Amino acid sequence: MENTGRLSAREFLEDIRLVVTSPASRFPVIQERRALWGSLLLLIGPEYFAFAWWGGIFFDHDPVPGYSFIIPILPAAVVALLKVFGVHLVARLLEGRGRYTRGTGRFRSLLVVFGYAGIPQIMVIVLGLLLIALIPASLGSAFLNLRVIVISLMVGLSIGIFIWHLILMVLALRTVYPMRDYKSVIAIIGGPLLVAVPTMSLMLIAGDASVDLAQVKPILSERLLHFMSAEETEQPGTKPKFPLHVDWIVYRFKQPQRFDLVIYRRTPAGPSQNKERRSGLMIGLRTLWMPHLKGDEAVGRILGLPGDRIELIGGGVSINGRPLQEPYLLPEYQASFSYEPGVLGASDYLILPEDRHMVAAMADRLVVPRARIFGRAIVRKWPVGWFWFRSSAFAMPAG
Amino acid sequence: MPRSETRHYSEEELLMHLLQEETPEAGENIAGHVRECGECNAVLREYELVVARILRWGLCDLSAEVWDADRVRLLEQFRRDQSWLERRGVLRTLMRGFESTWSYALENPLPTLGYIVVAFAFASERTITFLKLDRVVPATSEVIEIIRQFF
Repeated sequence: MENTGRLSAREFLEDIRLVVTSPASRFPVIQERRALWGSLLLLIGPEYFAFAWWGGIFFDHDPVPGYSFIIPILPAAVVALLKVFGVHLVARLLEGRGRYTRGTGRFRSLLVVFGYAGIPQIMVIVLGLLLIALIPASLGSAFLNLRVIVISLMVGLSIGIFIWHLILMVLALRTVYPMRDYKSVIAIIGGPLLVAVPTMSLMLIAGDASVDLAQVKPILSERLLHFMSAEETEQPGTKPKFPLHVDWIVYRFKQPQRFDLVIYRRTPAGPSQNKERRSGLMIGLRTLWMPHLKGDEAVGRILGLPGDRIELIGGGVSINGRPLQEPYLLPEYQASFSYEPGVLGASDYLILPEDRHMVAAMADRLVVPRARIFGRAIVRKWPVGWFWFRSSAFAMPAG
Repeated sequence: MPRSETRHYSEEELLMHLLQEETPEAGENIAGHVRECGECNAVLREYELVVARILRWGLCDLSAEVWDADRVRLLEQFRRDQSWLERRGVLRTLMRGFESTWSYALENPLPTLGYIVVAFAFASERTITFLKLDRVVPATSEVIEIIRQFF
């Protein structure tokens, strides 16, 4: 075979199959072919789905056709390449015994093979999506009931997939850096840690906010809800959470708009009054990185803007005498409530929960000052929102 | 090792071919490749020269006087080494076991995945049930969230 750097689709699929079945003999072949696109596709592909929400940053609608599909490629490529470069840097230093220039492994050579080492991750993502999409809803509920078995299986699968992934990465590094396996393991673990700061910085632009599942239940798709329980059945005293994708920067450049689904703090700034459990390594790291998240974040829809005259009568909302049309609201989440009319302050917003049955319980917290609104939930249909949300969640009033 | 692709052989494989330590099938493949590939042929010729030079080296036998003079010291050294090895026995066995397991895992990642999943899932289920941890283990949704963040 000539080392032309070319790779046909058939060869690519054959590479994937053989990396799964006999990786030790396939990685040298992939390395010798020196084709980049297959590996880059496998590297950036999974990251693309992690950043699929980036198309919803700042803009309410796609400014150009296809914008939502194209934009996530940028952060996905940056993160994927940064990770590989981190691994390369550490591996080259270890190979050169502390001196980068003494090592021989090249970054391009690592790029050629490293994507194939991510096949276990991709298989997990694909199988997970198929599981959610195809298995009957009743089986999804059974997942919640057979808790010990499901957790045990997940523990076993996670460790197994991690080791498999590690094995493939070591085999990939073997073809580039002539050094002992334990050094490869150090590079694989140390490399991503080295670039963790720039990678995590992206979370400051758009990331997850952990909100009460009950608050987002009205907008989540039925299929997704089959795998979640909004009741306190699993752990009494704690409310099930849901990671909602949030644009953290939009309100630095423009003011919140009517019908925006926003993330806001329930309590004034200062030490959190919320006594809810906020532990765990990942949650702890997230709180460290984003100190404004205090664990009492709520999600709701802005209906009244500063200066608006608001009326809440019989479950309907009137703004400046005009009743609002809310096509995104399903009948089962509508409720009847009435309050005295009033005028919003210069920096106050009227925010109602998507489940209007909650309005009565939070009647004194419906008016939220601007300072406590700090992010907009990304509810974008494409490329993956159609799977995540109900179709009604995308319905917006005309005009 | 049968190959589905034509490629250059590594120096290690060529050396094994020279010392006739590979399988007959692999030997035929390498011999066929070397006949057509100038680069691999050159490497093989170079190794032939090196091996021939090593074989030409002569080693002289030690005389009985030298053996007698060093016998006591060597015996003592041997005993010391043996006792040290015995002390390190468990550790060495563990290290060898780990190395052979790691080599097996690298050659057979899929069966390894199966063994790990079964072993850890069983161990986890037994631990949770035996220690009655099901009241304190995180909710399924929390475990999904933690795993999601790792991947």
